[in-house]
Parts: sequence; structure tokens; C-alpha cells
Amino acid sequence: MRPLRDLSIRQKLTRVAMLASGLALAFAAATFIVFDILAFRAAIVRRLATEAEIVSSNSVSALVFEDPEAATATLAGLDAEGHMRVAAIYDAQGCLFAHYARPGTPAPAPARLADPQGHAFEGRTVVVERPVVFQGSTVGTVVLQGDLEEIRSRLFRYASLVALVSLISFGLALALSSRMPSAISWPILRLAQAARRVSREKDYAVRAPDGGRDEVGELIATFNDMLARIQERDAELRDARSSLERRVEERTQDLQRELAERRRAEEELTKSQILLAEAQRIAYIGSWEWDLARDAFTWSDETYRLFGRERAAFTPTYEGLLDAIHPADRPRVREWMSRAREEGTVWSGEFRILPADGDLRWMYAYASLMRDGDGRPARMVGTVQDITARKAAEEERAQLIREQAARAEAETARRRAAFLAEVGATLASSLDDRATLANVARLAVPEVADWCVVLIVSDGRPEPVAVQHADPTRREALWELARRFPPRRENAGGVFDVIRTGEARLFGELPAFSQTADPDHERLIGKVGFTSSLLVPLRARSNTIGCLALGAVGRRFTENDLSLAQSLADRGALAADNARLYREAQEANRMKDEFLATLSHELRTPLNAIVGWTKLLQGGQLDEATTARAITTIDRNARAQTQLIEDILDVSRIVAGKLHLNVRAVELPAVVEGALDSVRHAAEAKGVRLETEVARGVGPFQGDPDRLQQVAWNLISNAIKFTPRGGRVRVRLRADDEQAVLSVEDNGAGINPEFLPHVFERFRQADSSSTRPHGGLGLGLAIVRHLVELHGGSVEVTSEGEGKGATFTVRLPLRERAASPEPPRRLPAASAPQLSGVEVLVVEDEADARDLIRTMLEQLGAGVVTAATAAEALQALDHEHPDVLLSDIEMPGTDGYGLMRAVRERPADRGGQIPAAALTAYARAEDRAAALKAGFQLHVAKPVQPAELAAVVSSLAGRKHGD
Amino acid sequence: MDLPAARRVVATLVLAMVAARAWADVPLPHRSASEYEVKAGFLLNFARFVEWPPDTFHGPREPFVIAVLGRDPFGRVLDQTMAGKTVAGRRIQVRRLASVDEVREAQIVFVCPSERENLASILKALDRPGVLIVGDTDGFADHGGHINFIVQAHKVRFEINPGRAEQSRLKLSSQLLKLATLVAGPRS
Repeated sequence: MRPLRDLSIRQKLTRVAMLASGLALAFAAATFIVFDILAFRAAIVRRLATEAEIVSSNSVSALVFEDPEAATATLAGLDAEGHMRVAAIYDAQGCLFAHYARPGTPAPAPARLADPQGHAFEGRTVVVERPVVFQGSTVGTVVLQGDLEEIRSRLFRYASLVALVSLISFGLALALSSRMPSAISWPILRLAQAARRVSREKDYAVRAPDGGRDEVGELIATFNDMLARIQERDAELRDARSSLERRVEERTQDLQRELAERRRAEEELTKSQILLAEAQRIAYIGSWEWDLARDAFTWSDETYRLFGRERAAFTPTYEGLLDAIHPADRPRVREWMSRAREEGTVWSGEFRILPADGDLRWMYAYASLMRDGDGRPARMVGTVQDITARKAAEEERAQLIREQAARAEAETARRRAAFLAEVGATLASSLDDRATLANVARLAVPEVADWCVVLIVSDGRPEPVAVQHADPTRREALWELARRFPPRRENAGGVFDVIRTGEARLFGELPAFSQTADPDHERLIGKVGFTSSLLVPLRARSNTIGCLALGAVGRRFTENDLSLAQSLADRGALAADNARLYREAQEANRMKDEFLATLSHELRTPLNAIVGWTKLLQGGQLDEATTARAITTIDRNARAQTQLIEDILDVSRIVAGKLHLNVRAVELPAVVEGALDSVRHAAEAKGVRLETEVARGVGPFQGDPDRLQQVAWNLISNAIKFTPRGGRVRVRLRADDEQAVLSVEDNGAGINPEFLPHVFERFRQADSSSTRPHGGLGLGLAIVRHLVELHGGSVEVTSEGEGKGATFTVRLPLRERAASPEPPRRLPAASAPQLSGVEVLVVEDEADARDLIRTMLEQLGAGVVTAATAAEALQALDHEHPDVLLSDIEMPGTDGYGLMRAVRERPADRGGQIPAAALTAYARAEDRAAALKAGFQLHVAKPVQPAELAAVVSSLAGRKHGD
Repeated sequence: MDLPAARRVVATLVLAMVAARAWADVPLPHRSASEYEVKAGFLLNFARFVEWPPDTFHGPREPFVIAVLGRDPFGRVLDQTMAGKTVAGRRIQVRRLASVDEVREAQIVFVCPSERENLASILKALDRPGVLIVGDTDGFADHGGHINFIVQAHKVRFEINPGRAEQSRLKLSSQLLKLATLVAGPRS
């Protein structure tokens, strides 16, 4: 055998390959067989263990229930396992419980092992033991013995297999190793071939075949890469040349196309210019252009035609253009043009021109400013259009509309006049105010509205007095709606507002009524129906007496309806007010007649007694007793007559506002006692019990003691008069929270509730018939009320009804009166006091009255400053320091009350404490109270006499000095 | 004598003495006491090889009840066998009842041979789910009892009526069935 180094490469490679494969094969076969035998043995043990566990779990019950037959039957099942030799089950005590041996191989039961979970190899067998466990405790043991014969046969099979595989692999290795060297030399040969081809053919696309990834393969790849670069460079050169040629070709074609395009555009332009001129001619629209830099106008043919100029004879200029325009429109056009030029705006407008060849024409022009590249105005271009025909048509239509409107207006006015004439006639037909208002409702429907409700203010609330509905079947629903759901004060813009402001309200379109939660209300509104509504005040003599509520169904009221409704309402209100005044006048007249009848009767009754007894006395035939009775009777009747006359005089003073109080500190208990003393005799005579309860120390009160006694006397004697024999009258005087309360309660005739509100009215008596049981003029209570109110108090009456007695209660304010000063009364009739040194500020808006008072005061020696308004008076107080202020109440702007309030808010050094008197024609008690409340100390009714004026001023001035 | 062997001897002696005392206390010795010891053990084993329906018990502390209906042949043996034992974690309670009407909550009812005459009515009354009826009378299982003790070749064996057990929703282990003589009937 030759040494290895002398062999050819081919032989070397073959030997190395054979040796390596032989060694690998032998080692792999040995390892595999050993491993497999071990694994197989373990598998047999595992299988045996599994079988032992199966037997174990199947024999639980047999062991528990001590049934060896059942256990033996379980073991008999092992027959199927060919490798099983012997098996046994032991019970918990270790005694043999059941036993199995493969038929033909009788063997003793295998002994138990030391490890109850283990296995052991014994010769060619293996023994496995497993416990039998039931509910956690071991109830027995299973022991199985299997043989290992199978391993031997397996080993023999493997040996044969290894021999066969070795033979085949040696053959293959030999074949492969003989081919290996050519696999290395072949790629190198092919690379040389490729290089030869490139140099011969100059074809750089040739590539050497891929040689794999070994060193030779890398050489081939590098060679191929070099060829690829050369080929790339060659291709780039060829591309650059051909693209240059293509671009030259393209540019030539573009130029030709552009030329053709331009020719066509020029043709189009010519055509459209012709079309434009034609269109302008047809539409009477001319165009123009004004080059601002050169001041040159260019007109189109139609523009020349519209202006009536010849192109040959007329060169258009700005002035020439303006000349053609109607002189009245020239400034307007000039302004447009200059504004368009300055502001760059587009303008359009209408104007008239006077063409050289014909009548006035209307033109509509439009202009727009064009700017050059720098934004400066360069040209103005625009159009003019002849709109004369359109103008004429417009004018004609406007004329027609005007005529129609005038006709419609005339018709409306005629109907309205007819309606109002009817209104006048109808309303004049009745002197009953209720009937008049019903007539208003009837007239309103359907001429003005579809339904109407007349609401009249009564006790401060609008009450429905008449309704009318165009659909008579809905009239009842309207009544129900008006009565059950009266207007509410809080509804803004509602009936209350209309009455308060006296201004009508128009609700063009009413919202769907969902504000009401009351289903009845909803139902009535639905039944009556309204989509639009009007609220019109009923005004009479600057006084709103009510409201007219009008509704429309399915249409909307307009301002026209409103004005018609207001006319109706004004006439209606006036007629109703007239009727009311007429009724009241009638009533007053009737009352006066009654009063006069009563007066003559009352005056005559005592007179009869006086005259009769006087006659008898003159006869001188009376005995002494009769004579005394006659004198007493005459005396009593004369007193009664005196009282009557006093009352009548008091009433006339009240009417004239000349009833005055002589105020001083008054002991009210004494006043009441005085009144009681003078009636006690009459009460006893009539058999009426007089109960008195007069609290001492009520007051002190500032008032006129005589008048207060008159009040008490009137109430008490009135009570006695209306109380039957055996009845009682209770008089109480007490102080109640800053008030003195005098109550006179009787259990006599009582007062009908209907008459209660009129108890304190003049000339009123519950029964004015000639057969009435009680005499008197019915003046007493009117005088009582007036006197009490003059004292700043109040009087009221309550009664449960006729026959149930009555209670009169007088309340006099204690503190308020105590704080207010004592007014002067008892005017010194003889000589007026000198007012020298007293400075008086007189505020009076009427010049005559102001002058009169000034003269009076100056004659009395006083210094006078006058003011015509409240403002002037306040100014005067800033500079002057008068001692007394006299002011009128009714003045334009701020009235006397306002002035006084302003004065009293001032500090003392600017007149805040100045004593003041109100001079006014308002002579009622409430006016007096208002004056005192505003801050005046005194209230003097006009006209005022010099003596009274002197007394007032001196008393005010004196008080000031005295304070 | 080594120590464990001595201990085993002592234990056997003690057991024999206990058995002798129990035997002496059994009032009815017409069957051997050892037979009822075996049956008591079997009763306990039945409890362990049978699965009751899941709604049998109402609380975790409820005991497993074995009712003995009729004249008790076990005597103390039954109580001794059950003492300290549990079934599925439940304490075992033995109740002795004279009448089937007294059977309330019981998982196993052992019908004593004394009730031989009333079998039909007892079986009818106990025919409800979750009650394992065990008898000790010939033909008990054929008549509808679930399990009946029998004695074969001097050994205690038992019959099982698997159809009836299924009707009572009791799941009997296959291990148990394997050991039993299976019977059927009656047809319901």
C-alpha cells in the first residue's frame, strides 16, 4: 500500500470519505441500539406498572367487599398480555388474596418488593408492585411479573439491520467520492470560456455561468459584475444621443401648432366683433371706452346711434357726453363718473338724454374702472342702454296702482263713514248706558270684528257687560269665557294695561293658546275662536271707563281695523258716559227733590207745634200746667229746628269746602261724656238703656272739641233714634294702638246690606218715603264722616242686617295729630295783624293769583318773594331765608305736594324746616290729608280773604319764632 | 418475639375481646354476629360506592343519615362501625325507626328482615330520589329495593337492582355493580 501523500488528490479524497463514513456509521449504530434497548426496557416496566395500576383500581371493590373470586376474575384479564408471567393480589395484612400464572408456565406467586411503588429486575423478568388504595387508605397490593424475552429478539433484529445499512452506505460513499473532484474543476473551465467569448465578439452581455458561493463562485461573480458595468456605460451613451434628436423634433411641431392656433383665434375675434355689434344694435345697448391717460373716448356704432350722433361728424368727449344728457341729470352723472374714477367703484344708473335728432330718451348706463399694471386707473369701460320703453311701462303701471289704491281708499273711507254714521245714529238712540254698551258690541260685529266683549271698570276690575259674536251659537261660550276667566292684572299688555294707559293694543297674530292649564278655558277659547285680537280703551272725558276686546277668527287685524275700532270705542264710551251722566243727573235731581220735600216737612213739623202752642198761649185761657207744657214743647221744637238749620248750614259749608276746625288739645273722654250728658234725657224718655264704657286718659288729641262732640252726639242720638223702647245703646271709648276708638253699638233697626255703602252719603236715608217712622234729614252721618276725616280719622259702620242692630266706629289717629301743629282758627275779625318783618315765599303758577296774594301780603307789611314753579321756589330757598312758604297745589311740572316733599328733604339752613301752608281750590278732606302728609302745616281753601291770609301767615311765622 | 409481632398479637387479642363483648350484647343471635359486622361494613362501603344527587343535602354540616327501619338486627355493631367515619366529609348518623312514616332525611334506609310483610308499602313510601334502600330479605331487590344482602357459600354478598337505583337518581359505581348479582323489576 502506498503512503497517503503519494496518492492523487482524487484517491486522497476517496479514502478520507470512506473512513469518515465507516466510523460515523459504526458509532451511530451502537449508540442507537444501546439507547433503544434501555428505552424498551423502561417501556416494558411502564407498561407493567400501568397494568398493575389498572388491576389495582379494578380490585378495589373486591378487596373492600372481600371477594377473592372477583379479584381472581380481574387478574384473569391479564391473559391478553403475552409478556405477563405471574400476578398476585395481597390484602392489607399482606396475605395472598388472588393469584394468576400464565398457563403452561406455572410459577409461584411473586413475592412482594420492599418498595410498594417500585420495580425490580430478576433474571429475565421484571417485577412491579402497586398499592390498592381506597379513599386514602391502602386496602391491598398488586404484584406483577413480566418476562423480558422480547428484548433479546429485538436485539437480534437490530444487528441484522445495521449490517445491511453499512453495506449500502459504503457503496454510496464510494460512488460519491469518485465524482467530487470534477465538481471543483468544472466552473473554472467555464469562466475561461466566457472571457474568451467577450474578447472575441465585443459582446458585453455575455456572462459566465453561476459558480455557487465558494471561492471559484466569487471569482465568477466579480467577473460578471465588471462586464455589467461596462455594458451599462455603453447603454447610457446611446440613450443621450437619441433623446437629443427627439427633443428637436418636438419643438418644431409645437411651433407649427401655435401658428395655426393664432390664425384661428384671429378669425374668431373678427367674427365675434361682428356679432357683438349686431347684438348691440338689436338690444339697443351701446358700449364705450374712455382712455383716461389720453382722454379719448371710443364709442360703438350703437352708442353713436343711441346718442343720435354720426360717427363721421362727432368726436365723443367727456363734455360732449354731458351735453347730450338732460341738464337735470348732468350733476348726477358727473358725480357718478368722478366717484367711479376716484374710488374705482363700479357704477350704474339711469339718466335722460336729449339726442340731437329726437325726443327725450331714458338711458341706463354701466361703468367699470380698469387699472394698469401698477394699479393706477387706466380706462373706464361701460355700456349704455335705451330703457325709454321700459320706463314708460313702469310709469304706466305705477299710475294704475296709484289709481287703484285711491279707489280702494275712497271705498274704505266711504264704508267707514257710513259705518260711523250708523254708529252715531244707533248710539244716540238710547240714554241707558248699559243699552248703549250693548249697542257698541252689536255694532262692532261683524263690521269690525267677529266677536266683541265690552268690559267696564267696576270696583277697580273690568267686568264684562255685553258680548256679541258673529256666530250666534257661540255667543253663550263667549259670555262664559268672559265671566269665568276675567282678565288678569299680571298679564302684561292685557286689559289692565290698556285701561291703565288708555292705549289700544293690537295682537296681529295670537300664539296657539297653550298658556292655560285649565281644560275648560281651553275648550271655551277653542269654541269662541280667535286668531287675532284688539284691545281698545273706552275713553270718555280723559277717563278710561273700560275696554273693548275684539277678536277675529281666521284673519288678522290691521292698523285700519284698530283705528276703526278706536273710533267706535270713542263714540261708544262717550255715549255710555253721557248716558251715565244723564242717569246720575236724574238720580241727583231725584234725591234733591226728595231732600227738599223732607226738608220742608222737617222744618214744618216743629213749626206746626210752635205756631199751634203760641196761638193757644196768645188766647190766654190755658191753665198753669198746660202753659208750662206749651212753653216746654215750644222750646224743644225751637231747639230741634235750630239743630236742623245748623246741620243744613254745616252741609253747605262742607259743600263749599269752608268747614273749618278750631283745633286745640282735647280731652276725648270729656267730649264723649258731654255728648252723653246731652242725650241721656232723651234715652231715658224713650226707654233705651245707655251703657257707657269710657276709658280715662285716652289722648291727648289735637282737634276741635265742639266738632268732636257733634260727632259723638250725632252717632249716639242716631243710635237712640233707631233703637226701639227696651233696647240698649253701648258707647265705648278706648285707645287702641295709636288710635282713639269710639264705638256706638245698638241693637235696634239695623241696616240693609244694600244700603250700607250709602250710609254716609248726603241726603241719604234708608227710607225716604213719606210714611217713614224716623224723622231727620239724613245729614247727620254725612257731617260725621266729614268732621272725622277733617281730623284725619275714619268712620265705618257694620250691621248684620235689618233688625239686627248696627255698630258705628270712629278711629282718630293719636300720634300723628299730636305731632302736627295747632292751626289757627277764630280769625280776629276786626284788625288784621301787621306782618311787618315777616318774609313770605309765594309759589303760584297763575300770574293774577300770584299778584293778588303778593298785594295782600304787602299791604299787611310783609316782605314777599314769588316763584312761578316749584323749581323757582327751590332756587329761591337756596338764596333767601323766608319765614313762611305759601304754595299752590296744582301747578304744571312739579305740583305743590312734590315741592313740599322736596323742601322737607332739605337741611334746615336751606329751608327744610320752613312753616308752610297749601293754598288750593281742592277743599276735600282727602286733599287736606294729602297736603298735611306732604309736609304742609296748614291747608287753606281758595279763595282766601285778606284777614284769613294774615291770620295764617302770622300764626305760621309766630310758631316758628316761638319754637 | 420481636416488637411489631408482639404488638400485632396484642391488637388481635383486644379485637377479639371487643368482638366477644359485642356478641354477648346482641339480643337476637339467630344469625351470627359476625355476619352483621360484615353487613355493617358493607353498608358503610355502599355509602362510599354510591353517588347521591347533588341536591340531597341542604347544608355543609348536615350529617349523612343511615336509617334502620324495623327490628334492628345490628345492635351496637352498626354504631361501632360508623363511629368516627365520614362519607364525603359528612359525619354519619344512625337513626332507628319503627315506621316508614318516620323516615325524613335519610340517605340510606336499611329495611330490616322484620318488615318482610310490609315490603310493598315501605318500598312505595320510599320511592323518591336520593334514598338508597337496602334490604336483607329474599327477593327484596326484585321487588324494587336497590340493594339486597344475600348469603352465598357462607359469604355475605348482595344483589343490586340498577334500574331502580337509576330511577332514584343514585349513581352506583361500576366497581360495586361488578361485585353484585344484578336483578331487574318490578316493571313500573
